[in-house]
Amino acid sequence: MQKYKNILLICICLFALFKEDAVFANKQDQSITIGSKMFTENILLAEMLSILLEEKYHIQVVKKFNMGGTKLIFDSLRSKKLDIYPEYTGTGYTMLLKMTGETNPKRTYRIVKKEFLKKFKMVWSLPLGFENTYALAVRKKDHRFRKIHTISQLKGIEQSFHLGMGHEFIERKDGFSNFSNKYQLHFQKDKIITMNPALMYAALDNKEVDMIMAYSTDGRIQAFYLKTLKDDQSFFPSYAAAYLTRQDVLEVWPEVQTAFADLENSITEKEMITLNNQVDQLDYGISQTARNFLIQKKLLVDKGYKLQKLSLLNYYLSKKKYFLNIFIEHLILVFISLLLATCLGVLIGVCAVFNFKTEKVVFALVNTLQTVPSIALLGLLIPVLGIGFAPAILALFLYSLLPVIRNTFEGIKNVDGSYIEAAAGIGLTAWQILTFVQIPLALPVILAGVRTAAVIVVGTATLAAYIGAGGLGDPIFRGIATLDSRLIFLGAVPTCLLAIAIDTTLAGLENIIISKGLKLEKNIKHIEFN
Amino acid sequence: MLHLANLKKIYNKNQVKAVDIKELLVKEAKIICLVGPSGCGKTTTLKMINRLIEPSEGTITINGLESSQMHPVLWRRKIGYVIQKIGLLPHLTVMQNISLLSYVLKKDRTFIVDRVYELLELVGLAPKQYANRYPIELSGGQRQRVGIARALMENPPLLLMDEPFGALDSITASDLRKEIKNLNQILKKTIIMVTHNLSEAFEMGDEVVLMQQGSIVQKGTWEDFKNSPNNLFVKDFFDAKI
Repeated sequence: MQKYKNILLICICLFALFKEDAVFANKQDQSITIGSKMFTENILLAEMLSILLEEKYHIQVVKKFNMGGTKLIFDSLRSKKLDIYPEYTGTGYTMLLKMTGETNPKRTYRIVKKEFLKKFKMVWSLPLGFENTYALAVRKKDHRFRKIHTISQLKGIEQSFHLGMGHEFIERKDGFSNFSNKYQLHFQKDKIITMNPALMYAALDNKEVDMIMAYSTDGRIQAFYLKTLKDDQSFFPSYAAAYLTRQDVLEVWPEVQTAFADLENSITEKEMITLNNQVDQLDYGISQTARNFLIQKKLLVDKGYKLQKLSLLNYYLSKKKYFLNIFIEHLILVFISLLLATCLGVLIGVCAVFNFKTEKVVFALVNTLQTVPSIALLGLLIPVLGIGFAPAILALFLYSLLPVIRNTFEGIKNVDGSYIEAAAGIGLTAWQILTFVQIPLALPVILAGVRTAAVIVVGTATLAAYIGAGGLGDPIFRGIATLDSRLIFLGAVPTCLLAIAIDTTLAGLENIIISKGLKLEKNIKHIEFN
Repeated sequence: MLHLANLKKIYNKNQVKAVDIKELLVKEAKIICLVGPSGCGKTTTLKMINRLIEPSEGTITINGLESSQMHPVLWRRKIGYVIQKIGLLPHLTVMQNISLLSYVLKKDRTFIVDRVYELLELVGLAPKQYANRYPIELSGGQRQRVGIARALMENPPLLLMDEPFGALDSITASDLRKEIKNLNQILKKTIIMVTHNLSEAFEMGDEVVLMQQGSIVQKGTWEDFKNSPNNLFVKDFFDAKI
């Protein structure tokens, strides 16, 4: 229930010019928010810590898994919307501290520990034991690579290969351009394909690309019979996994420090590959895999859990509570943004009818807004409003504004002049003509606009999960990240059904509020046309 | 009763005088018909009387009250208005259409119902049968009867009619003409009617006003027009239409 209180609070704050800090302070008093990036290993590590904190140390945990890239999640930690997330020393060193040169694991850890405390008042946990660095991976069976074992050996033949990599690798300091400079490799630009990191392995397996910039602990290196080429010039920094948190979190919850110690040096690289493999290839489920590992390591009391593949029905049943949560989140997202869009859209539409200048400005603005890709709109709002509900609702609201404004405007403009002349003739004021004549006559068109907006919002709201606002998009993003089609269905099917349900409801509502006289007229016109 | 003096409508864009009436006096309970070729300013004159179009110059006086002393909305409430397209609101019933202004002004509900029934009776529609119908469920003639009832709702001393029979077939129109004549005799309302049909104008009007390019060229009865046309235009117009 607490979560929904907060959601309500956010809505109120939305009206109070998005004063966000007050919203999250409340949540912080009672629970720790743990986040994760959008790939299996990071989610697994976040899940392990969540289970440990909840069941061993009895701290209430709020999960914000599957958040976008490093920048987004780090900014969230910094602005106290998150408290802990799993990070890698190399990422901290190159991307967040913007430093280069050091590739030694111990020295890298020492530098980030010192610098993060100084710069951001953030604390790194002790390393978890394994490194997840970048590795250039190729198919073992690809005969072209039979004699090639190091990256340097690629020189001269690299132009003929298609290279797949995650979006992030292109952007990073230790990323693609420096990598190709260091090894003096000149890949052909049109043969470089960026994609969701989770999809690269399948792309390589399907021979759509010849090599990928893989993660060294990914379970699919084993599963797909890949081999990694040696980083013989020590280009890649050390990527030791650890948890990143803020100093003030440890002051409020000293138990977190103990939990960190529990997990110190507890996962080897081989174990991590196995864990990733269990989730990605064997369908054991993230929560189950994480729990089982903690039991194995005697960090958690065994309550008789047995690792097993879930049947589809059991799988969905096991997610009932989660599903209910995201469903309600989705409904709230849709409802609030649609309500705002309807109220303001009608208002703006009416103003546009009566003011020629407003009309031009409004339509130029709203039409432009509609052309901004929705995911970009969400991204652009993050610096202003941060992550979570507020920016998601604002983006959805802006998106659904156009059909409402346009239909209001067109609906009112197209009301036959004789009705207005007659109404003015009997002595109604402009306002009375608007409310008793123009709006009632335009109502079918206005409601059609609201219906269009509703369908847009239900679909677009799935993107809100990308910036941590939850909703039915959450399982879709998770499903894409872990290549789990069951999760994608869990999000997609209810989204479709919800769109149909809302459209039907609005159609029913239309039937109730539109005057019988108008409906009769519509029917008769229909008959005449036929 | 109605007095127009020096009434002008000048459109800024091209300085053309759409209407330029030196004087027009209409006596109590008379029917006056405005006729003339299209574009002669008859409809503009009508709309200036109830101030849907504000005059550029001149005065309009009804029973000694000058229009500029009143807010245009309040002014219109004292004048009944009937138009060719009728303009019954399709989302409201006959009852709601007739009583819209009273409803907006929050008048007493039983008064409204009684008044609407009385008016429906007057225009020849059985109240119980028609009060709750929607405009789409009425014939053209019935709709214009409702339009007339609506104009009479506030019991105005003056009725303006802009080609009220224009959209009706000839039999319906002729019936309705007789009834309006009747109403005029029973209710003693002053009626100003615009029409392009000269014979209709002489049938309905106590006097006919012929307009040309915004000005009145002749005012009078059938005999006046027949026996002493003011100029060639009047003679031609009269001969062509009769």
